[in-house]
Amino acid sequence: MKFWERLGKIDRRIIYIVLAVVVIIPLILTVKLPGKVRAMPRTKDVFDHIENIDPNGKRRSILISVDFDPQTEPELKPQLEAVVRHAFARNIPLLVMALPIQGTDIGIEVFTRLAEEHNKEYGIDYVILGWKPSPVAVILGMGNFIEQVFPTDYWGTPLSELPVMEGIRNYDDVGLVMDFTGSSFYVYWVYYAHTPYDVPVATGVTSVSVADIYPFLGSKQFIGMLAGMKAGAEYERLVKDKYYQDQDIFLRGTQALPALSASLLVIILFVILGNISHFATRRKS
Amino acid sequence: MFFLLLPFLLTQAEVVSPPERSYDPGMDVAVLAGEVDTLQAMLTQVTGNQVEDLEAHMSSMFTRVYTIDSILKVLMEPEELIVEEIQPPANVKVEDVRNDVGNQLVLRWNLSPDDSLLDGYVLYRAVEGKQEFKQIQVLPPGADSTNDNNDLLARMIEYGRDEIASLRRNLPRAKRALPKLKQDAAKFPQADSLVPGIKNNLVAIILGYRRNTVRQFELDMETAKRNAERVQIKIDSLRGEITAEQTEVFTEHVNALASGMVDLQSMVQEDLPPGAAELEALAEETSKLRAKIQGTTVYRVQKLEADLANLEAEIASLESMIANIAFIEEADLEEYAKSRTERMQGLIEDSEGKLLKNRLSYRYKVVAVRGDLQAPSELSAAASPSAQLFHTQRINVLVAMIFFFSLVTFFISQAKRGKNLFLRKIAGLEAIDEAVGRATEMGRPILFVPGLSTIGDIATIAALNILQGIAKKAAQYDTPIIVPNRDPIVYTVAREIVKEAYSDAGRPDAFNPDSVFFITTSQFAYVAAVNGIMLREKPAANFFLGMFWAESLLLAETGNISGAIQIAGTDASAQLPFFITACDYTIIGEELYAASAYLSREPNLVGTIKGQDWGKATIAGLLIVLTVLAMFGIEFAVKLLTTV
Amino acid sequence: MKRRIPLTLTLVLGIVMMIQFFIPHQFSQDFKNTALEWLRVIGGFAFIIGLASFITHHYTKIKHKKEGWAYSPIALGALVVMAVVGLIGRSPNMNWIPVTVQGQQISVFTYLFSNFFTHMMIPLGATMFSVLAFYIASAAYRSFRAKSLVSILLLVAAFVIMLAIIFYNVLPLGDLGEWLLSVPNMAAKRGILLGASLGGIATSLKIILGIERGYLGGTK
Repeated sequence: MKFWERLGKIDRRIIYIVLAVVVIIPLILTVKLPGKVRAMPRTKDVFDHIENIDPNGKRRSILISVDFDPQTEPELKPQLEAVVRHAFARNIPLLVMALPIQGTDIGIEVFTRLAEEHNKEYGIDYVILGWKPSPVAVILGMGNFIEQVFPTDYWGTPLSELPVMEGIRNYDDVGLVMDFTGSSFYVYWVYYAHTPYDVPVATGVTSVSVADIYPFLGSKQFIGMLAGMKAGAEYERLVKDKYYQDQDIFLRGTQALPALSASLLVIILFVILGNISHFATRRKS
Repeated sequence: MFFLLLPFLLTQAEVVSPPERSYDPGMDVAVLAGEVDTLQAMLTQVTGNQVEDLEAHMSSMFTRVYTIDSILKVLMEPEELIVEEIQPPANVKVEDVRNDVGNQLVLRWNLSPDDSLLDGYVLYRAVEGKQEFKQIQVLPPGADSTNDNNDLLARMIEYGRDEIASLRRNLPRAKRALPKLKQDAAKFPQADSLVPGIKNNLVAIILGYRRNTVRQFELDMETAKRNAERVQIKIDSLRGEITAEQTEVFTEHVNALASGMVDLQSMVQEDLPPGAAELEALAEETSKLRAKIQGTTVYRVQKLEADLANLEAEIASLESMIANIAFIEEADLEEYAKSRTERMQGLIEDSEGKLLKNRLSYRYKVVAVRGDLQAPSELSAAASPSAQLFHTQRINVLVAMIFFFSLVTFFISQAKRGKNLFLRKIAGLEAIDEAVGRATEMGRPILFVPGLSTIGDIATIAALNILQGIAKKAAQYDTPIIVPNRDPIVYTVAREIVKEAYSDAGRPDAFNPDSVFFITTSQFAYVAAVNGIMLREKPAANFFLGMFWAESLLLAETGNISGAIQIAGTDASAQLPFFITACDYTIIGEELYAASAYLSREPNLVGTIKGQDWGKATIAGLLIVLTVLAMFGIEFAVKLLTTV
Repeated sequence: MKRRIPLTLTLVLGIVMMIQFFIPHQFSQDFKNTALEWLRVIGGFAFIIGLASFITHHYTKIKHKKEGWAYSPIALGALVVMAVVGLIGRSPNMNWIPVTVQGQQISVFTYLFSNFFTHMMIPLGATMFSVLAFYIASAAYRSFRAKSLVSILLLVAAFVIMLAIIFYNVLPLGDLGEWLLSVPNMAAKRGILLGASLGGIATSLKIILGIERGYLGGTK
């Protein structure tokens, strides 16, 4: 029965190595997923909301707040890119900002790359507002008048000179505030943008924070949520199916999903092994 | 930055310029142009009866009447529509905003019947009993309410003061730096007289106190030149790619757009606008055609050439800027500083004059404006922005607070009278003694992490309360205790606690000041350091109490590897699962707050726990009752618990 | 005496701040802002104490050649270098010792600071964070044992959530995972939150009234 006992006491270093191998291999070999990712309702909610934004209507723009730093980039960047592609495909004007300063650089990198890919022009299709300290003041101020908080864009051009800002004064002209965050910036958007100004807000978060978001979804303070890397892959699928069927676009989340699945599978296997050992040794004793 | 901000602030301050039209006829013309040009483009691509279909479609579209009034108006309006009279807005109502500091009023009015013809509304205000009306705000057509407050004015006053202060500070510095700047600028002999338009800009920049202005310009110039070179290289390489065929395709697309425009103009003259539904559907097609044009190499080259021209213009202007510095005199700086200070003083005075004061009452009028035409509304009733001494919307909070406080004090008095209050067993807290004992037996230290948050976090305070007991026991048993900190204030408090604990235990000499220390405020660097301590010093008991984030498992699992007995406690619900899996005992949420009462059994403290439990029971009961009431649509039930 | 002053301060300011919450008038707002400013100023001073602690801690380590003392000079060196580079490199209009980076002339200090930050701080932080994945695996393996009904429930819930991600296109699993998160999880979360909030209020009250004084060191 020694075998059963040993099964319950596998050295943690073995677990680490197995996990490392299983995560690295799919990333290097770029394993393709069999079948299509099915979008979860919360992801679909966000997608449908953006589908229903009228690019020529009153609430025609999307305000994207890149509130994460490089540490949570792997989980949140796929979501961000998928949403941006969606908005670009529908010609929705995009306003990009960040609450923590690190977000600005990530936003600029993503937008410059995707804009070129989609033939979009800075100032006409999107604007990078940049970063300002003290999140609460920024969010509240924009409810009054966006130019009050950001008189110029990130590079110093007055907003009034940018065609994309035409007719966009405050949250009344924003169809959705989409916040991507690895910490708890989403709370600010609920408390200071949604509650006082009634602008629809959605958030993209890391898997760890997902459980914290549900109370806000229940109270409809968020119109939807993108949860972790998987939601990134789900959203990519939705966007690709509708707008880029015959085009080859880089699906960041979908590409990383096999590694994620494999690592979870490893965890499940080890948990099962541990339980087998638990029952075998218990019966013995 | 200040200079960029200035035009914006000034337009806000003076608000004399007419508001921008919110509806741009050019946009619609462009959309319509797109529509027609798409059809034209489609015509060039198809043959046979498809052409007939399309032509039929086009003509049906042309003959359809507009469905959107605004489009019709825009197409007709620019010159032809002459308006001789406009109606004023009516029924202007002013109301004080309750529960504020007394600096805002809310205004509402009925739109002018001619709203769609207006340039906008101008809001005037006068102090009750006086005739002098001040212009306060300019609002776009369609606005039927606004909030008059002091926010923007206060910011302008602040801005004006900052600007005056910085001018005062910088003028002598700029004067000192000027000879050196002129010397540097003299190396650029291109200009032979001062260009008046540039002068003010330069003076402003020098007064912004940049000692190295010339160097800065040179750097900008170098960058521009480098960029120009790059663009040139790109243009050359792209030109090599262009074939005759590509040029043809490009010309075709551009012509399609252009001819659509011509057709549209003639269409408009003949009053044959297309329908709205087609407009929407075809706008998408237009954008596709535009994207196609933009995708062609020819277009990209054209665009790059424009960029290049811009860069060259920029280089030239920078050169002339530098050269012009040689002509600036100290007197220019003084003069500019003086005029600007005066201007800022004017701005401050003007803004101060417009501030709402909470002892005065005001009357308003709203004037509808179109060009030179003005139609003022009747004066509103007088209203005064009063400040409140009690926030009426927080009554529910006050009631709940009083109720809760009296519950707690009641149970404290009960406990003091010697009534035995039952506390359920909390395993994590029971185990503290065991953990300290084990460390003593093994002769190894105790590690105490008071969370990663600040002293403002209640979890941190609760953790420090537990630290007090643990440190005292450690002092009694002569077991070393290690307390690494992430927050400097928490560090100071923790150190004081441990020190006191040692003197309480009668062994103040045994306190090692190096056992409580500050590491860093960086989250993961802190974790790395604590993990290092766990692996090197091998503490026999680890306490992770307080507020934790993503680092919870990193700490707990390392502690598990080092084989210590671990007790964790936090109110961060997301971190609880990690602690539960990796620690021997976990103190969940409010158990952490109860710890000091539980450990000391002091009646005062135990009483608060009891009060807290009854408070919770009351809330649970209220939630059930109010939910049922709300289900029957009783409104007040929903509002009762709403806080502001 | 040493304890009475802080306790009196806590009591008075605690009650004043409570009353302030109910007064929207300007003087009350001004008071609140002043108090918050004081808080920031005091925080700044505390940082100096923290710095002193850091330096003495490592100094004594080096002096007594304690285990791992060799890392202490590195820590102190890093402190000095980063402080100098940051203080000089992050000041506005800084152009000392310019270097050319991607066609832009910037000060060598600015250059070093951004490099230290993006190529040392961030990867180091990310590395620590990613260790989490391995720790989750080993912790789950060790402690997810079906020992009781409660732990069986936990195990099943965890499996459902994980399998919903692995089998990304199987219908009922995903919906079941969603239900687990939005119903039982949310209920438990709200329960803990409610209890913790009330506990927080009670603790604040205890601190204000001076019943709880453990954080000042000793109950006597």
